[in-house]
Amino acid sequence: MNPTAERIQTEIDRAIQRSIKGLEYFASPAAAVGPTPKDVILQRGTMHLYHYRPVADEIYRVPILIVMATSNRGYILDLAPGQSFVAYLLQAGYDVYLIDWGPPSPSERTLRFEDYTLRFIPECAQRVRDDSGVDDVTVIGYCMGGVLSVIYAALHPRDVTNLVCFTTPVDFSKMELFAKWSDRRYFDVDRLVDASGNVPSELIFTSFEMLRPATRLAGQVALWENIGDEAFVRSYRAFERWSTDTLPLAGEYFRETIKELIWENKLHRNELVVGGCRVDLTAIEAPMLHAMAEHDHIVPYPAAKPLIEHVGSQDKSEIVLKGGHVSLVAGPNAIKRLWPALDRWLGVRST
Amino acid sequence: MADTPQKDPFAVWRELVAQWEKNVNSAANTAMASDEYSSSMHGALGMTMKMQETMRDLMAAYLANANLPSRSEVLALAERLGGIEARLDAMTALLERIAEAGGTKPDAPSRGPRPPRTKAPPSA
Repeated sequence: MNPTAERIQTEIDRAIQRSIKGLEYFASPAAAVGPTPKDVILQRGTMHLYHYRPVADEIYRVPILIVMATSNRGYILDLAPGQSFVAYLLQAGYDVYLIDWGPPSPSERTLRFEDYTLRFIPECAQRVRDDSGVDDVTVIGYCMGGVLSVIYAALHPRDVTNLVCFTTPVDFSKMELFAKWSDRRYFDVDRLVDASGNVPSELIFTSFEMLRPATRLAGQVALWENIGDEAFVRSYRAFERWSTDTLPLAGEYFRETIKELIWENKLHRNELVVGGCRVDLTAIEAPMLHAMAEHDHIVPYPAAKPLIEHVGSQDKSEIVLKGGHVSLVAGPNAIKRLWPALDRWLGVRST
Repeated sequence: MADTPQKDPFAVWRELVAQWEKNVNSAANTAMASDEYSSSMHGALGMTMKMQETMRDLMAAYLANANLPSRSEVLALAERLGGIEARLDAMTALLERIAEAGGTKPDAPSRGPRPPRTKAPPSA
């Protein structure tokens, strides 16, 4: 058989295999996520505080409290065996707790920054202290979870032993498309919140999707090409499930985010007031690490960069790694880059 | 004669898809950053909200006529149930604290022994 005919034959065989695998794909159940054993140790409304069961023979003295982004489920950090940030930390000898925000109920539409940063996070941090028997806590915040962690750390500087932020925006004027879409001349945020209570997850999901409108289709093409590769398909399905599992946002919290952070840029200007207290970022004195992604389309580098300049910590550093907003913290990139970098930084500060 | 590397047509296809993705994203981002886009997007959002409000009112009237509970009534029930659960949780936590203070171990499922907090970072 000549090489061209051979190649065509191979491609026909692959196409048939793809069709068979494609049918299996659509017939199989959704990807299982969040496999690491854990216990719910505190629940407040739709918020859950998990403690992951340690796996190492000895663990670092200082426990970790992870604050998940409010718009997404926490299982991105515990996606699947071999792709779990949480499991990586457990194996490295950390004691891990995670705050996971569920979809807010209608009565939770009134939640504001002060509920998250003066009530939920402090109560969770106290529960971590009680549960671990240790007074120190490392706080790790992802995206808007990072914003809440920063506000919490500024309002409770003595309660945070180490502060780690992943892709955390501070200069919201540099989140250009979001800033444009929420332009106060056109966006009636009051009408939206007053009418809908909580802001629907579809709106949040669509906003993220619109930042990269062609990426979903290109991802589906890549899936079709790799449909025979079980590891690829498993990973694709888990990420796909997570990215479409966007959470609604509490109405008042959304209103504050738009008005205080995006319109007035008060966090960046060090003028944000939460529960009657000014959020002074220079009050943060804990050792701090800020990890950002080079190709982050949701929180671009210029929006995240000023955070490290604002905080008052003497021991502070930032790292900019290859990858995007999600691949920074989950997936093959994160396994090679962020997770070991965090372990190197945090291990020596966790004894 | 040296072998000339054959261009893989599927690699070309993949490059084309990647380039298409980049170009579409870039063009869409430029278009969506305009005032006109923001204005029309929020105009459409306003219309959708208006339609939803109308539908909600109509549906509430229909359910009332059919003597069925509306969504807001079901949600109110769920809220009350949630409130009862929260109070039960608080009472359980209080009982556990009282039991601990009295030297009695609470009858809660054990979460297993914890490893010692003695780990030191690997030396450089």
